[in-house]
Amino acid sequence: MKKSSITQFVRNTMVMGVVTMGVFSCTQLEDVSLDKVTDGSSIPPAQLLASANSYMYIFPSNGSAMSMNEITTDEMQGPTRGTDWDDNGVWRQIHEHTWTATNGNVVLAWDEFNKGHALANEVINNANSSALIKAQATFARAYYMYHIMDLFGQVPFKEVVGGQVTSKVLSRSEAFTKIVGDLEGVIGTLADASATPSQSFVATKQAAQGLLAKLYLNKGVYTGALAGPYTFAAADMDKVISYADAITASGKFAVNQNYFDNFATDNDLKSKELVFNIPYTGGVNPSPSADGYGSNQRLVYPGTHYNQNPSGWNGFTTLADFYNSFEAGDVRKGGQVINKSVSGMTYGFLVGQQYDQTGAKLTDRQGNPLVFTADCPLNGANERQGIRVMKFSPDFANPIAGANDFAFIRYSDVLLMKAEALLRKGNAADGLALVNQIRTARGLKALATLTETSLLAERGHELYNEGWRRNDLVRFNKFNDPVVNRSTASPATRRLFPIPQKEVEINPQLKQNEGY
Amino acid sequence: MNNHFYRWFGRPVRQGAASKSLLKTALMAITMLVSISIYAQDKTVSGKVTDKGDGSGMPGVSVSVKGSNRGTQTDINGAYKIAAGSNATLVFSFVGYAKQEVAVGNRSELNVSLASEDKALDEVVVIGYGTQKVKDATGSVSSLSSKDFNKGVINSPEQLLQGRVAGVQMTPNSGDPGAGININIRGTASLRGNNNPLFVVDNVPLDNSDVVNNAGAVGIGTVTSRNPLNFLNPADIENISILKDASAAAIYGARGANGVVLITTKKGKSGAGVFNFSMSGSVASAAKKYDLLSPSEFKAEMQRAGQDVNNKLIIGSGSTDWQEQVLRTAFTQNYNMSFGGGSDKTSYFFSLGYQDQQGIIKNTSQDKVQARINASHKLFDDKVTVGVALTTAKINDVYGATSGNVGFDGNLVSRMINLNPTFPVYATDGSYFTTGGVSFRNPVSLLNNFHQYGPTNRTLANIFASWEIVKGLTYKASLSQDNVATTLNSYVDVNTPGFQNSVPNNAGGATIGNQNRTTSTIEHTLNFKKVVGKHDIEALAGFSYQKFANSGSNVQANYFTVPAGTNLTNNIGYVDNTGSNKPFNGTSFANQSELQSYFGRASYNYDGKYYLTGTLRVDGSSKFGANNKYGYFPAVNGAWKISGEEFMKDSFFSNLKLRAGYGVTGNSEGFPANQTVTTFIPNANNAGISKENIANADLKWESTTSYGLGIDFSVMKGRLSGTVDYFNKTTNNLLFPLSAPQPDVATTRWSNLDASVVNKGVEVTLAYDVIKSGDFTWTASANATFLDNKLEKLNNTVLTGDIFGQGLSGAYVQPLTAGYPLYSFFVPEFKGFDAKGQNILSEKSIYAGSPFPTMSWGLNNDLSFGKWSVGMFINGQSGGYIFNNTALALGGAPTLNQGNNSDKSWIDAKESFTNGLAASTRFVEKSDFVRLSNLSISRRIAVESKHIKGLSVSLSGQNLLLISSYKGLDPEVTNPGASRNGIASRGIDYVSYPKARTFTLSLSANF
Repeated sequence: MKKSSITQFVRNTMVMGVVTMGVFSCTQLEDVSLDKVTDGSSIPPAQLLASANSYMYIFPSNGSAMSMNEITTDEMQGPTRGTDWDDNGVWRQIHEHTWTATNGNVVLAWDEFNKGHALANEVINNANSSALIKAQATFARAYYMYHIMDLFGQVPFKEVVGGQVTSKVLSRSEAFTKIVGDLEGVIGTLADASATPSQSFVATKQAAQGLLAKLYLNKGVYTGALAGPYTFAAADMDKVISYADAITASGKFAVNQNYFDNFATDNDLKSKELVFNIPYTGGVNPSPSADGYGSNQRLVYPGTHYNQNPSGWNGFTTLADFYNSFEAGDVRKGGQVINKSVSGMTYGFLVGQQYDQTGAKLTDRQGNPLVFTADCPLNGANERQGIRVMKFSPDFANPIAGANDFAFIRYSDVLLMKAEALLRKGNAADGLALVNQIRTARGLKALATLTETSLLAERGHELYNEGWRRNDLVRFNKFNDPVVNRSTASPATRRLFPIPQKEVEINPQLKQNEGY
Repeated sequence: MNNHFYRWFGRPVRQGAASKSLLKTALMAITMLVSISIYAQDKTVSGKVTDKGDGSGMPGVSVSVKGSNRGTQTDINGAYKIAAGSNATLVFSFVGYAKQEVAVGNRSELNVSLASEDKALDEVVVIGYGTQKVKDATGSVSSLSSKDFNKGVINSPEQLLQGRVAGVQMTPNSGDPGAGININIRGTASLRGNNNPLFVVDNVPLDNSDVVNNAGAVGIGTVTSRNPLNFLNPADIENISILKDASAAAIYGARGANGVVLITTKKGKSGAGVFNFSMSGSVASAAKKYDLLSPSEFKAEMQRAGQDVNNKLIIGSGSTDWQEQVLRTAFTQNYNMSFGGGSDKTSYFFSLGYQDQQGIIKNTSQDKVQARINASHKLFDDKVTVGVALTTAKINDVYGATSGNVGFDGNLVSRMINLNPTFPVYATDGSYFTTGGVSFRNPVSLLNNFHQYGPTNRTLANIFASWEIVKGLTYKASLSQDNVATTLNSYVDVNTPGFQNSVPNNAGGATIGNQNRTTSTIEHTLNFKKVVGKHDIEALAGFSYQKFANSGSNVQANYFTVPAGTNLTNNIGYVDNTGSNKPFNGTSFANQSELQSYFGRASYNYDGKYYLTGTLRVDGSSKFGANNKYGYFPAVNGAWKISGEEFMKDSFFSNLKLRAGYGVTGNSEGFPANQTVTTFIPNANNAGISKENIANADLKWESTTSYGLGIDFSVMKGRLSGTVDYFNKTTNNLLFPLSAPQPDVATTRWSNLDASVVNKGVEVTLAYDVIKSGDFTWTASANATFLDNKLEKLNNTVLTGDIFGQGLSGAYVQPLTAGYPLYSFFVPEFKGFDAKGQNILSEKSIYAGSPFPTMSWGLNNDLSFGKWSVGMFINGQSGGYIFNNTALALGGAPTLNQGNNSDKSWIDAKESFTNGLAASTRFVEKSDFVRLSNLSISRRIAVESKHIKGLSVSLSGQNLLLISSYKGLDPEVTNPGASRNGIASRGIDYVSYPKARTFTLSLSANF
């Protein structure tokens, strides 16, 4: 390099440098976002609502709230099988009622429902939102608050008045009043359920009525002492009946004669029971979070064995006592092959020898015939133990994200709620008729009498693996009773889950639930 | 220490000193410029330069004719030849030795012997925005030059130092070529991933963020981030200084809390151009393999498990050593050439390096080309100096399926461990053997069908100018830009067995991720120096502005229609876009932040005995809200050179100095931009948009307050010297994504955590000239660090330390706990097996140790005998623990029962085949080790040639011997994939890329 040219170059760049420095120096250090919207007022409220609704998809999953409502009960367990499903003991804890305030499923349910709540607030408090959109967001918030109230008993709430945010914590009964008030306030604004299935969630009048029926049915639990006994006021039961009747009166719903159509990949077309429906599209994982929670794959995969199609996760099973409580001929037990051309998988409970699509016997990974047996320990189980649950049929075209919609409240549930309200009001005869309407559709003989015990059993058989068992058992005061693989009764404080430890630490308004 | 080994490379080894003496030489040359008419009377003068200490010939000594720009260097034997007139004066100079000037007179042979200066004290260390003589240092600064560096295959500059500096702990993520390294200076203080120090290359502070678009490959986890410093050629490095304490690092204020590593590259020297060439070839293989069951032993275990051994899916027809299928003997070649020289006004240096390194896992490699140019020139009566420096590199990484966060279906490492040894590689029809299971991965098909590769281009350009306004007052301006562009391509071929669960229709999956980072830096400094009698004053004032821009995009595709064997990332458009298929997914991001700083430093010393330095840096960052945009980082330190006192005149100590310092430094690395603004993000699955963050104007700098005391001493006339330092650092206001009070649009929100992390300890460094007689010298040096890390206060539950494997979802082993070291293991106590062979575990988790060694040490020996020299470096650590996640997930009876193989040391005959996989103290092991890290033997070769000045060959070995009780491969490893709640874990070993043992033969010549 020639000296002079270097000199020239450096001189020039120096001059440029000094000029540039002048431009850059002493900036205001503004935090500029280059890839995100920062002006909320420019966003159409409908898009904010779509996000707020997306946390609905957290519920139809194996972990989180679903496990808290199913594995805690006489209906399901998550056994550890050698290398599978230890997961720091979270599944065993849930079945044994020994969960802690750091259990991942408990924390996830708390976080996700509350996040949905906050996003719904963003729509409700948005000046651009129409009355309908506000009503739909209010419905979504009521749904999220319902879960927090039902599972945790305390509902943190941020009140916005004139742009000022006040944080408070609603007690269970305050939350009940708030949720019911909100729903009843918007029910007139919400639209009727549509005859054509929607690909995305829409809050409807009938969904709100279904949720209100559920709330009034449980009012005794939500406003009474945790340990019970609960009293169910006749006025509340009348509310349940009137909301159930309103749903029937809409003329859009009926009990499906083919039970498994309610859970099929095309259930949006075949089922007449989807009152509060969370719709899925095949191939789309609508999960709002990156952890995969929200995909309905998680209703199919937890139980099936690796060597079955679809190859599952070899985990959850129903319990022997629960399986044995079904009457012979109950179509809800399933047994028919779902799709002979691709798999030997059957509907309902998977019991005994499993086959592939050619009819050949499947084996487990140790080479033993794959025969699912009823008895299954909670720890140290082998691959064949335990009856698996295949209520939502696999979507063989979209194994990871099936097209099966999930009805949070199904029409059969509405009728059973009405039957229960009638029974609690002393009108067992009218209740019995409703129960028998369902039993007939399920291939069973009519019952002669209706008792709390037979109604609870019927609810279990009709609604297994749909996320209602804990709610039902609590209401019938059976939640803490011993079940298979939990030999002693648990304390009544287990009817509520603990506020996650990390939350108690940062929100002094929350007091940890009793017993934790 | 003796400089023999590197002297004949012809490069004075301490740049700071060299350039100073050059400067002086040049200045004198100008002022005493004599007529060039002397050229007419030139004759050839020759001679030999020897070391006054041992009489050996000194290669690489700079010989110049005073007042001219003629110069040369001594050859390998210390001989030189130069043309000079009778009235000329020859100047002999070499770093660390007193310069000599000798008049030629009528002699034609001129032999000179140079005396070593008190080397340790006259060494110059680079400190932030300046240099300092070691004897004047008041902060804790360690400096290493090329002779002290590790040898062999070196991917990045910090590997040159691994184990050699007290207080600096380096843990490589894995044995993957170019893998990242965790560097902790005086302990780990921050909860965020990045505890690495600030790197400053020739005064330019770098953005040391990861440079890989880690959006994740298809069903195989995310790749291990590459070391951001891979772009610097280790051969270009002259010296590395490490500012360890706050009083030294405070000049870097907000970026100094993790310490500062200052890298100085080689510069051209005054005199004739010197051309260096070196080449090396290396052979590497796995230092240790897993001790797996042989096919017959495996069959016996299957029988013990009660499995049907006649079933071909349990005992297959093959016999395969899967480690052999995956691992290989790897070769590396490295070439470096450089040319540097200059005159009294100009210096220039060019270098070009090429390295092609194979990984010991097949189909993994890193090759890179690195070039560097720097030049400087003096103008206007030498009052102005201008300079440029340009480093550019292209690195091609080829990653195998080796990510640390892979699921149960496995990657190359987990499959080579646990795949049934009775299975063949190929089925009888020539296809890859598979059991038909949807997640059955054959490692050979993974090697051939899973591809992940991409280039990284990085260019660092710097121009600067300094102007001596009046004597003692110098203004300097520097402008630099650092550009990184990287692409990561990954794809799983169509119909690859074992991907049915992650690849729709098994029709292939591909991702292409691009990322660009640009850092622009402008700095102005004003330096003042004045000596008045015994008062020595130095002052610095400066302004610095940096802008960090980062952007990237990512496209992912599925449903390919091309035949198997096609490069899917090159053909990402060939997908089936019909029906309900959604073959494409894309994301992009862009962010930026700015840092604006004002700083000053004033130093005073009286008579070279009493030293006082004060520093203040004010940093403002766009990442912080209006309420706390600026952070103030002061430091003060002082020293007393006791040996300079009259009463110490005849003492045993040739040097004795006491140092003390106090300072505050900040940290905002790893903390993202845009936390002070409200932001909304889209959700592609439902066409919605949700609020993601609510502006927080109160966020403030994480800060570390530290104090320390140190003693520097040398005795026995400098034969034994050493340093002892005590340090105590407390980090507060930790920036952390803390849980947000619900209901909230976010689960976590960046906050200043009300917690303190305290790191305290003692560092000892000793150097001893064991033998120094004639041809034989033996120098030994040792360093040791005693570290105590503790989380002293924490009011929040933070669960971290994710572990991986089947049946271990959501499992963690490092809940942060006050009163214990960060990342301490808390797991149930393992009390053996019950009668059924199931774990007996304590109900509560107990403290099972910390991943941080309480003591780490290094011991170096350099021997030189005539033309031979030998260097040996041993290092070790004790008191730390490691969680063997590999053994938990892939070992013992339960995995055998799945038909998987296991390391023999992980099998316990008492364990049931249906035992659950649970984290417990059973898998927490001591990470103590002693390692023979480096052994090199080299020989100078005398060449009777006027063209070649020096030639040498050397053979070195790396990672030669490891003594450890650890049941994995190597206890010095960490799984970077294992992060949870925004915290990277430490001390968790999970299917790590095995480490290599490497032998390197190299040849070096200068011309």
